[in-house]
Amino acid sequence: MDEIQRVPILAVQNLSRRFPGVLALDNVSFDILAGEVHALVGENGAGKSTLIGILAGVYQPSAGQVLLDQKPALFPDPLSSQRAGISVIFQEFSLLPHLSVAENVFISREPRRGLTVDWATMNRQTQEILRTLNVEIDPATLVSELAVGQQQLVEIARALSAKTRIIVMDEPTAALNEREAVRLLEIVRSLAAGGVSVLYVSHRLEEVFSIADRITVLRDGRHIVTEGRSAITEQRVVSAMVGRELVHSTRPSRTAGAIVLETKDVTVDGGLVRNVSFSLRRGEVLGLAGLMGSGCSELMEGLYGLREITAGSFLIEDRPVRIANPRSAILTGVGLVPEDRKRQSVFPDLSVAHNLTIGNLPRWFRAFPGLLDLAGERRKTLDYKRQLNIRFTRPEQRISGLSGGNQQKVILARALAGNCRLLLLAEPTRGIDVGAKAEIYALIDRLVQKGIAVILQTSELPELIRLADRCIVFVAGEPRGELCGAEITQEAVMSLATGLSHRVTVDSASLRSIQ
Amino acid sequence: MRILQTHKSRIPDAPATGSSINQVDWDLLWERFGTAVVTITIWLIAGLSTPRFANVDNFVSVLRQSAFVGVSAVGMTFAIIAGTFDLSVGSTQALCAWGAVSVAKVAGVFPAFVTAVALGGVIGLCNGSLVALVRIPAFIATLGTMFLVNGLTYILTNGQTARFSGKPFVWWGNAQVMSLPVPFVVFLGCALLGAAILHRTSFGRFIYAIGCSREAANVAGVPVAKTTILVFIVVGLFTGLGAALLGARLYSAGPGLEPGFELNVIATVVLGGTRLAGGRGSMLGTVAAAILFATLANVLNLSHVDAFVQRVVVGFVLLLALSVEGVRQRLAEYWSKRAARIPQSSQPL
Repeated sequence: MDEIQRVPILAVQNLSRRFPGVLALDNVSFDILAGEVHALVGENGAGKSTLIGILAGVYQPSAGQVLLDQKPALFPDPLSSQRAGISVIFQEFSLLPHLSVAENVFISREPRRGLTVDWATMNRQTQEILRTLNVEIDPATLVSELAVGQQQLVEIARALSAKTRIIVMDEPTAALNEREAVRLLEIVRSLAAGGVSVLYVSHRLEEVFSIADRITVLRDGRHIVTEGRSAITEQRVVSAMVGRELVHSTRPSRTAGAIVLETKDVTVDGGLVRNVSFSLRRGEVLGLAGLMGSGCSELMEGLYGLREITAGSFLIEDRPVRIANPRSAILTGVGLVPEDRKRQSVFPDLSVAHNLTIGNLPRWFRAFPGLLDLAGERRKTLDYKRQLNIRFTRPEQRISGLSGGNQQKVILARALAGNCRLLLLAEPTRGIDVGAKAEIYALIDRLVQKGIAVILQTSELPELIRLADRCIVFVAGEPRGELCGAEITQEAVMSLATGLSHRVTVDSASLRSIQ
Repeated sequence: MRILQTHKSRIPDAPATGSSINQVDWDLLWERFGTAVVTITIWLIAGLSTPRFANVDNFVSVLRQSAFVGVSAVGMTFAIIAGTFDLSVGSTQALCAWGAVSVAKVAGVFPAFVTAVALGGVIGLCNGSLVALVRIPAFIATLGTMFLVNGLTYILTNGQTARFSGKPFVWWGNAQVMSLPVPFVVFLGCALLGAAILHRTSFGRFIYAIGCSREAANVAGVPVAKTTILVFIVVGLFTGLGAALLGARLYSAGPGLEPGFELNVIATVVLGGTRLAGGRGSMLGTVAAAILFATLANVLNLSHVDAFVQRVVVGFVLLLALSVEGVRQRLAEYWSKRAARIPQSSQPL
């Protein structure tokens, strides 16, 4: 590859983006050459999505600039980014499932004959583009009939039809099976050979090392390193990704009690998650870790009755239980703090008290008339306010006026109000500032000390290390390995999760394979 | 810059800054009492400008008129807070009123009311099951039952109006207790009962939760399907009761009783400040809006305004009331976007 002749087609210079409470991008600079596959890697929260959002015209930079062909460019909205020749393929596809392949490829740019769409030309041109990708799909097929991998190719075809010069791919293989992934990598290579630049955003280091010309690592919103593939080792990339300062407080030593939960060969939703067997004791925190799509969230939802457990057995305190829906989970003593606070847990228009008690209203019934005991509810809410140090002025206040950390504490109180024995925490500190995070960790420590068993699903490795006594790492819906106590390090977890386990110098005795 | 920030802090649901906590929640106050304030204002204006408005007989007439839509609107308030609605209340009303009048003729007052309420409940059960179990969108499901019940009523009645003017029955539509019209007293009773259910029972809490976020309600363990079915039953029960009162008032009932009734009911609830998307709303607003609509019709009649022009005025009032909220939101959005753009425009290029 002759790097001297190639010029940067796109560059970001001192790019920063501030969100309320977070500096998501902090003075990041790097460039992408014409016809280059440039990999962008980093943990969750490293700033990759923010950077993609700026290139796509979804976010505006707080400082710094984007250079296109060495000239400053502004993308105030997605359309202007597309007009500049940038196509972003997000993890969640933006195809319209009820339209044909050709219609999706040419959407809003349909070739016309007079006032009507020129279907013949549209189909022919779609066919031509698909042929350059070596794909055999009938342009008249409905997108909803295609497999996920094929849908992604349609996204790429759309990008090519728009005369795109830069394609940004966000975790493109996350939803693909192995064969589809190999196919996609071939196509990415041929795109680059044809002069299109690709910014390839991925967690999966194996892929990154197989196709990238250069690799850029972000961590905590900062640019760590940009190197040619041959000039950097996988080990260095991993340590650049995870090498942040650890959270200062450390995990207290805990004594585990009797077994609370035991699962044997559990399968969720007919195979989204398979062969999960573990046991959990009182006063213990079990971590679940894995990349997006590894099945951790699905397992949590299965344990709480939001998804069906289709095979295997599930015992709570030695009694087999069937949890068909959240109601029965709560009655069995399982509480959940859901992953997506906005969508799954907070009722923004309701008061703090109503948000807190909604899961356990029968507990606030007065014995006789069947009416709610509002005074008792108010007392209970103030009780939890003291216990969990939740900051609000009145129980009648709308919850949407509280900060994210305080909203999350109310949701935690809602789960605790059900007197749960098993507490499921999914991304308990997502979108919460550092101070509130430390408070929530201390709270979890206290609950565990009181004898509650906790399952923690988190994509933040420092959080996992800070809280979990044991940790199961999932890859593609199956447990890949289990780590205990001091064995839980960022390197060990990332290696298991990215499939690099054989290269990492973790004591082999500490990697207990589950199967 | 400073001016912009004060505007920003007024945006509802903005990321919490702590400052909003001690402020008076104008939104909430307007939502709860806005319609009542407007209604009283209109009474004052009408009383001063239209001499024939401000006398006891006319007040009684306005209040009586508000009850027939109002009782059904009490039920509809439940549905709309839960994020759904029922288009079949017009057809239901006609069938139930006919049932009440027919039964009153042969079996007396009490069986007549029971029949009307039970018929309403059964139709509500059908609607609820279609929406919650068969998962047909409420618009389609209740549109279907609207046609179905309407057709059924024509078949049962042969297109004929049932008549009955027995004293004990028509008392419920025409008499007064303590100088208040009986239907209005029933309406107030229903509204009090409805408010108690909404605010003091877990069923009421579930309704608000579902209207606010179906998914979060399900995750929190709220029995979403069961609650939805119950909501439609409640709509049916209240509509049946209101229908019996109307039958008693008119001494008669038949198919095609009150065309467009369902839209009057929905308009009343929405004018009362209940959010069509669900999650917010109150009974007081519904009562005030029912009286407001009746007052409006009364004042326009007294001023000899043409019936067709009256409909234009009603539509205008509804649009005006609803645009207050929309305009306020657009303004808030505009200011928050302005504020977000500031750091970018001050950056050197």
